Amino acid sequence: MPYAVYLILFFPFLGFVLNALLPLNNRVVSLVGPGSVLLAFVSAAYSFNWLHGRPDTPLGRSYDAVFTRWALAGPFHLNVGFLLDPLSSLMTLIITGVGFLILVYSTGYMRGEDGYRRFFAQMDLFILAMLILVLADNYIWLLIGWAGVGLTSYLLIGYYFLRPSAVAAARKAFVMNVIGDWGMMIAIFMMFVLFGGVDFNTVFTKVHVQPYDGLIPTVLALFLLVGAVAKSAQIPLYTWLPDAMEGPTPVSALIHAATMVTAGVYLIARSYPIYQQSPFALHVVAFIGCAGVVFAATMGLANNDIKRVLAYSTMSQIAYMFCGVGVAVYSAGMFHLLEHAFFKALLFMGAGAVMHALGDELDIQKMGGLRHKLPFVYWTFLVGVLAIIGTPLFSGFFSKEDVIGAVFGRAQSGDGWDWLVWALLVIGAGLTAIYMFRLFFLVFHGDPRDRELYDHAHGPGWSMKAPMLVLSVLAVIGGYIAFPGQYNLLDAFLSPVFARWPHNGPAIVAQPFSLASMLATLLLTLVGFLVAYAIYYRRNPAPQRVGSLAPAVYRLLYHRYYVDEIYDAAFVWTTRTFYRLTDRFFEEDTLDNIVDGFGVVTRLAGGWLRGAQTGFVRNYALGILFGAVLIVGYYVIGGR
Amino acid sequence: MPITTNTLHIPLLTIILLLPSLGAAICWVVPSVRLARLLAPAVAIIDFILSAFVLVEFHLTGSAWEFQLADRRDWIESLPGIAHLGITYWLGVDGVSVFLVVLTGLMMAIAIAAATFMITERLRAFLILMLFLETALFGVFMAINLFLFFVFWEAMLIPSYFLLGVWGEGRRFYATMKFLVYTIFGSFLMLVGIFYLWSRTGTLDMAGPSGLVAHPLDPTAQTWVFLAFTLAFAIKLPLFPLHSWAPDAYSESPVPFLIALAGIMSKAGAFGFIRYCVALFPTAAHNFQALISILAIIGMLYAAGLALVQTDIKRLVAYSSISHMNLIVLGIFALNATGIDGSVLQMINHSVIISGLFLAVAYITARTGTRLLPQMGGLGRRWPLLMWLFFVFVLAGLDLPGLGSFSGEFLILLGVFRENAWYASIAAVTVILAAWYMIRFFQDSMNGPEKEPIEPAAEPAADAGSVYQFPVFQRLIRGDLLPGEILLYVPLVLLILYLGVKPVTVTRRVDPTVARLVTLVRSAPSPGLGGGP
Repeated sequence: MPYAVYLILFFPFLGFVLNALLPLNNRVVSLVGPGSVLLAFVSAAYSFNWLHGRPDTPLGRSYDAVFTRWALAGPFHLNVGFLLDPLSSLMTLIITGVGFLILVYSTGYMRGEDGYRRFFAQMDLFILAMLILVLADNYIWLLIGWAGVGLTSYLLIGYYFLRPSAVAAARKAFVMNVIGDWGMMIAIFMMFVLFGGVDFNTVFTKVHVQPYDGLIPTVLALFLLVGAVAKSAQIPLYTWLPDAMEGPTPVSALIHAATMVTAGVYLIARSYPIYQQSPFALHVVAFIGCAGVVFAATMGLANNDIKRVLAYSTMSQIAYMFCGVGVAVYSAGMFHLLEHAFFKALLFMGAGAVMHALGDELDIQKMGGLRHKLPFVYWTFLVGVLAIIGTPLFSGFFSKEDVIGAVFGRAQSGDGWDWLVWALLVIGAGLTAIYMFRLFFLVFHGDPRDRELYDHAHGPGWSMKAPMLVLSVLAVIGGYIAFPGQYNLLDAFLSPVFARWPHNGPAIVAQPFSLASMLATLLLTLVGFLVAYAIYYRRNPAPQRVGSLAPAVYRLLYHRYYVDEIYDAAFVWTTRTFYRLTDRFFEEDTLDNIVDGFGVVTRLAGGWLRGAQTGFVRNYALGILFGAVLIVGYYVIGGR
Repeated sequence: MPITTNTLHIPLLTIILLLPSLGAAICWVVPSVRLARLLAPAVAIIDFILSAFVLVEFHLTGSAWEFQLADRRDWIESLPGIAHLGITYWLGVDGVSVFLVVLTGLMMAIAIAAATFMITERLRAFLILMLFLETALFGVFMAINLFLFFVFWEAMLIPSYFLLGVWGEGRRFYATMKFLVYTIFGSFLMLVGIFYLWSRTGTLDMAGPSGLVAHPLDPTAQTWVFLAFTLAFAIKLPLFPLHSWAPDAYSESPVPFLIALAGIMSKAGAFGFIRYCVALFPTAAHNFQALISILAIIGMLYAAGLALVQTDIKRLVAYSSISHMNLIVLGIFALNATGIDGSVLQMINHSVIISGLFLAVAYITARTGTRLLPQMGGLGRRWPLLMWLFFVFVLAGLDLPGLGSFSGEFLILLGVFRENAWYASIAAVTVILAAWYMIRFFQDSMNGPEKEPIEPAAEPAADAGSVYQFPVFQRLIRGDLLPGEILLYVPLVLLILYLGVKPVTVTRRVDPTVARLVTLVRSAPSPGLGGGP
C-alpha cells in the first residue's frame, strides 16, 4: 500500500502535536517522542519494502502520491505530492532510523533538563520537516521542509535560551540559512519562468534541452548550490556549524551531523539533471568539496572543544560527499552520507556520554585517561573513530573509498581538474586520522588532566548505551552494501533514480575500482595515525605545547583563520552601521526635515499673509486701488 | 456586459456597511459604559459573521471576475440638483475586495475586542469611533462608485484623527498632525483627479457598460490622473519615500486602533492601486511600472534595514510593516496575475501578522512597562506562552516557508521575476534582513539573560496638555497571557498556518478578477515601456 508514505509523515506530526500542545508528564513524553519516530521508521521500512517489490524500472521504482493543490495564481499552479523513490526512501530510513536511536538516547541524556517536553516536541517537528524535505515532489515543498529544518535547528541550538552564547549561535545559524533560502528561491523562480513548473518532473524533463554547459543551467545550478552550502555548512557559509554545538548533544548528533546538514548533498543528488547539464557547476561543487575537506580538517586540528572538533569533522566529511556528487557519482555521495550518519551519530553520542560523565565539560584539555572510567564509551568511540578515518573493513572505509575512487576514476578518464580534487581528498584522509586520533587520545588516554572531573566521572545508563551499541554495529557492518571492486548494492538500488529523467553530461555510473587510489588513501591515513600516535599517545603533551611548535600556524588554526571576525566586520558591522547612519541622517534628519519643512514654510507663509490683515480700512482701500490699477493697466497696455 | 452575476434578496452589503454605525449610535445612548463594552464587540463579531457570508455567497461560476452581490440605490440620483453628477450609491464585491471585506470584519472584531480591555480612559468614545471607522473601511472596499469611494476614504480620517490624537502615546500631537496633513494632501489631489475624470466621462461608476473601466482615458491624460491617485494611495500604504508619517503614527497609536490602521487602512491603499490606479489607467500603470517597482524595492530594503537598528519595539514593527507593504506594491506593479494574486494574499497575511506583532508589543509593554529592546531580555522564561505565540508571528513576519506569508511573498516575487529577474532577486534579499531583524526582536526580548525585574513605571511624565498620556495598560500585568489575550491570537494563528498549506483557497477566488484586470492592462495601448508576457 503506497499510502504508507503519508504515515511516515503522520506519526512525527502526531508526536509533535501531542508533545507541543498537551501537558504530558515526562514519562509519557519519553514514550511519545521516540515512539512516534519508531512508527515512522516502520512505515518507512514498509514503504521501502513495497518499493523494492515494484518492477525494477525507473518509473516502476518511483511513486508520486498527490496530496493537495497548493496554489494557483495566473499561469502558476502547483499540486503538492510526495515522491517515493529509492533516493527518498533511503533518506526516510536514515532520518527515522537514526532519529529513533538518537531520541532513545535523548531520553537518557536529557533526563532532568528543563523543557524536556519542549525538546521532544521540537525534535519531532524536526523529523517531520526533514521528511517533508526529502519526500516533496517539488521544489517549493522541498523549500518548506528546508526552512522547517532550519527553524527547528534554530530552536534546538537555542535550546538553552537564557545562555547568551546559545542565543547568538542560534541567530547566526538561522540568518546564514536564510541566505541559502534566498538562493533556493531565486532558483525556483528561474525554474518556473524557464520550465513552467516547479515540480521535479516538469523541471527535469525540460532542463536537458537547455544549452549544454550554457549560462542558464549553470546559473540555476549555482543558485541551488547557495542553498546547499548554507544548509550543509560548506565554504563559504559554514561558520554557523561550529557555533551550533551550543545545542544539546543529541541535537548535534541528529541535526548537525546525521541528517539536516547532509540535506545539501541530497539536494544536489536530487537535482542531478540540472547539474548534469552544467559541468561547470559540477566542478564548482567538487572544488567547494575538496577545499572544504582540507580547510575544515585543519581547523579540527587545533580545536580543544570536543564537540567542535566533531563539528569540523562533520563539515569535512560532508565535503567528501560534495566531491562524490560533484564528480557526478551521486551514489558515492549518498553512500558516504549513509555511513556518516551511523558513525558520526555514534561519535556525538560518545561525546555526549563523556560530557554527561564530566558535568558538561567540553574542553579536551581537561580530560584524559577516561578509558578506565568509561570503558563502554571508550570502545564504541573507538569504533566510530576507526570508521571515520576509513580503517579497512569498517564502514567509513567503504564509503570513503567509493568517493575517492570515484574522483580518481573521473580524473583518469580525462577530467584533469579532478586530479587536484583527488589529491586534496587523500590529504584530507590523512588529516582526518590526525585530528580524530588526537581527540581520541586526549580524551581517553594519558593521565587525567583534571582530577576533580575524572574522579566524579560516571558511565551512561542503558537508554544511552543501547543506541550507541546499535550504531557501533552499524558503523562496522554498514559498509558492506558495497565492496570495492566487487559489488555495489547501493549504486544498483539508486540507479533507477538516475535513469528516471533524461540528462546530458558525464555518464552516471560507479567508477572502476582503483588499487592505486586506495593504497594512497590508506598510506596517508596510516601516516596520519602515526603522527597522532607519536605526538598525543607517546608524549601525552598539553595541546598548547604542540601549538608552540609552530605558533603562527597554530594561532591561525586556533582562531579558525579569523573567518568569523572577517565576516563580522565585512557584513554584520557594515550592514548595521550603514543602516544606523541611514536612520540617523536620512530618515530622521533629511526626510523628517523636508516634511517638517513644508509645515514650517506653510506656517511662515500664513504668518506673512496675516500681516496683510491689518484691520485698517485705509490699508484695504490702498490694496483695492492697487489692484484696480493693475487690472486697468493690464487692459490698457495689453490692448486686448 | 452584465453588471453583476449574483444578487441576493437581502441587501447584505448595506447591512454589513451600516451595522457598525448603528452599533455606534446604540453605544452612544446606552446608559452604562459596561453595556457599551459588551455591545461594541458583539456588533463587530456579528458583522464579521455577516461578512463571512459574503465570502460564502461569492461564486466562482460564470464570469467570476465581475462584481457580485451588487446593491444599488437610486436615492442619490433622485436628489434634486446632483442627479447628473455621476454620484451613485452602488456597492459590490469582486474577487479582490471580497477578501478585504472579510478581513475588515475579522480584524475590526479583534481590534474592538482588544480595545475593551486595553483602553481604560473614555472607553465608550473609543468604541464608538472604532465602529464608525469600521463602516468607513467597509465602504472603501465595497463602493463601486468613485465618489462614494472617496467619501468613505475621507471618512476614515475623522475617527482616526481622534483615535490617534486623544488616545495616543508620547508625541501623539506631532504624529497626528503629520499623519493628517500627509493624508489630506494626498486625497486632495485624488479629489481633483476624480473631478477631472467626471468632466471627461460624465460618470463615476466603475462597472457597467458606460462605466469608467470600459472607457479609459487617452494615454496622455491618464498620466496626470494616475499620478494624483497614486500619491493618495502611496501615502496611505506607505510607499517609500512617502512613509515618514508612518513610524511616528504607528508608534504613538493605541494598539487597538493600530490594528485598524496598519492592518486594514494600509490595505486600502494597496486596494486602491489595484482597483483604481491599474484598472482605470492601464497605460499609465505600464509607464510607471519601473519607477514604482524600484521605489518599492528601495522601500523594502530601506525599511527592513531600519527595523534592524530600532530599539523601540513598536517602531521596529512599524518599519517591518512598511517593508512588507512595499513588497505588496511591488507585486501589484508586476502587472501580471501571479504578482497581483500574491499581493492580495499578502494583504491578508500582512494584516494578520502586523496585528499579531502589534498585539505582542502591547502584551510585552503591559508586562515590562517599557518599549525599549535593551531593557528586555529573558522574558520567555517568565511567560512561555507569550513567547511561543509571539514566536509564531515572528516566523510569519520573516516569511518562513510553510506559513501564510511565504505563500504570498513567493507568488509576488515569482510574478516580479517574470517581468524582471533583477528586481525580484534584489527584492528577495529582504528576506535575509527580515530574518535578522525579526530574530533580533524575538531573541533580545524573550531570550538571553533575564534583566532586573521591572517595577511598575511611576506616574507618567505629564507635559503640559497631555493629560491622557499613559501606557497602554494602567498597571503592569504580572502573569503569563490572560485568556482574553490568547483568544485574540487564536484566529490569527490559525489563519497563518492555514494559508501556508492552502493558499489556493484565496488565490483561486482572486484569480478571475485579477486575470481580467491583467488582460485589460496588457491590451491597453502602451506608448512607452511595456513589460514582457
